[in-house]
Amino acid sequence: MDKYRKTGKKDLRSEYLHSLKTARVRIHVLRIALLILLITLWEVLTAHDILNPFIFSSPSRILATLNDLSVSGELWRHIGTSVLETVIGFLSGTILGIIIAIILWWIPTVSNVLDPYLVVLNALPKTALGPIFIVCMGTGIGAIIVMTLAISLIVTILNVLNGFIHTDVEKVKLMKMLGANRLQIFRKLIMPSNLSTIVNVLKINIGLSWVGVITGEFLVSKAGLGYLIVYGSQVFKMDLVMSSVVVLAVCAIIMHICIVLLEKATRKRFGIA
Amino acid sequence: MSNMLLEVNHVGHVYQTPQCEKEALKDVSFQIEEGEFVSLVGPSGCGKSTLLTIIAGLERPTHGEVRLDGKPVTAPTAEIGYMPQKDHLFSWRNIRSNITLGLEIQKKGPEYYRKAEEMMEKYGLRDVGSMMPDQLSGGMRQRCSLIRTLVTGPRFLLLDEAFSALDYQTRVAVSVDIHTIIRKENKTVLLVTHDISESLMLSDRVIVLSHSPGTVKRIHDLSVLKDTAPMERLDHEAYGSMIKDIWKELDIHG
Repeated sequence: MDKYRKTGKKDLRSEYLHSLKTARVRIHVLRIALLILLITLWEVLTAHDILNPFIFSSPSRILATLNDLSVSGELWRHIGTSVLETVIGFLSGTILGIIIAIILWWIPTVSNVLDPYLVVLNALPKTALGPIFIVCMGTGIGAIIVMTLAISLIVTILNVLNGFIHTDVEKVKLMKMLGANRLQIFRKLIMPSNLSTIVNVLKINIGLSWVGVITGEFLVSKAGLGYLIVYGSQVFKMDLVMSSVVVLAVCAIIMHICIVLLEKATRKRFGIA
Repeated sequence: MSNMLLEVNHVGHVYQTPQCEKEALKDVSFQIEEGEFVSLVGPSGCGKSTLLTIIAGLERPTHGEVRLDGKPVTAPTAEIGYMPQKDHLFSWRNIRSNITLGLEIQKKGPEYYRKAEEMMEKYGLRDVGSMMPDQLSGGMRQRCSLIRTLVTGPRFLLLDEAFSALDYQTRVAVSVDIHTIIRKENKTVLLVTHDISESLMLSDRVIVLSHSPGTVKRIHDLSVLKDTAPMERLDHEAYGSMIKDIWKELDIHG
């Protein structure tokens, strides 16, 4: 009896929702299957010497290396160093970039004067400045953070300033007609309407900060994942290089997820679409 | 002439750009009485929006002057309320705090916030106060936009193509709705529009601007339609001929 009564709208809806869920589950299963396939293939090919395990390492060798490193505590020291450098570089690049963008928006003359300088700095590959930073800052963590800053700062300034400048002129006009001064226009219109720009900048910067830190560690440093990679390649321990790359990927992903969660929270809090 | 709220006296405006000099407005003069609803129609590019920016006090004219209640307008003032083409409600604020945006900016006291609540109640916005703008229909959003302008207590309202972003049916309904509210609040209005029928439906007088440079071509007195409600004006015997007259004056092809 029940079976006949349940036809109609509701059934169609639950069928649709069910099919959505199945499709989602299938994609997830396929993704994980692909990962397992690739890892297995890697292991099998290197175990049978079709790929040279001394060059390509292998999942089991990587696991063993990571185990050794973590038992000796080395792993955590290197991860800690790189993560700290990245977080400091990321925060200072982002905050400083936003502050400079605010100043440039506030005083158009300054932004007009500095425009060509920003263009040149943006076009310049910042890694070229690495040796200069090392000479100035010494071979410690300072040079690496400045390197990171150099890579993320200009992009931040340009993106945020661009967002500020392109805020709907009609809305600015409305604010003016309501009697708003420049500070009020900034706080009540420019800043909230550019939150999504800023969140995007955060996403870009977390990636750029890792580039800065690894490049910096390649050039100088006695610790960090970049150091491990360079050291491993110099002594031809490819297991160490591969292990470091895997750890690096995991760290970068975790930070990216943090930013995505932050993004979701801000969108919810400020109701931006 | 003491009851003239707004006076536009011989306003002319010349735009300077590196390429050329363009005369946007030439010797524009008209007055608006307290409580009047006046429309300004003209073909696109006739300097309507320039004139509006000047009356709003956002730009100084190169010639002439604008006076509100006898005092020259040189900067935006709380006496002039501005309602933009789109509602421009801020998506990150709920309806209530969108409506009180002007009060926040002008740092008004609690009596203004009470008045805002009263107006929301009066015009059916109380229940949507805590909703976000994207949950409301276009017509409701436009009503919020008007209330946002009204709560700061301006004496004179500038409506900048206030309904043209809406589809035709909503536009007619919303314009009548806004007209009713404005009449109830007894405000003086200048509506800038390119829509002739809209101007005939809503106004006491229609000012027709001619094309570049913008000058006043004719001022139509709609006292014939005075006691006819907006929607009923469409059926009035004078309506058809007036539309034709203004249409000719706008001279779209010339």
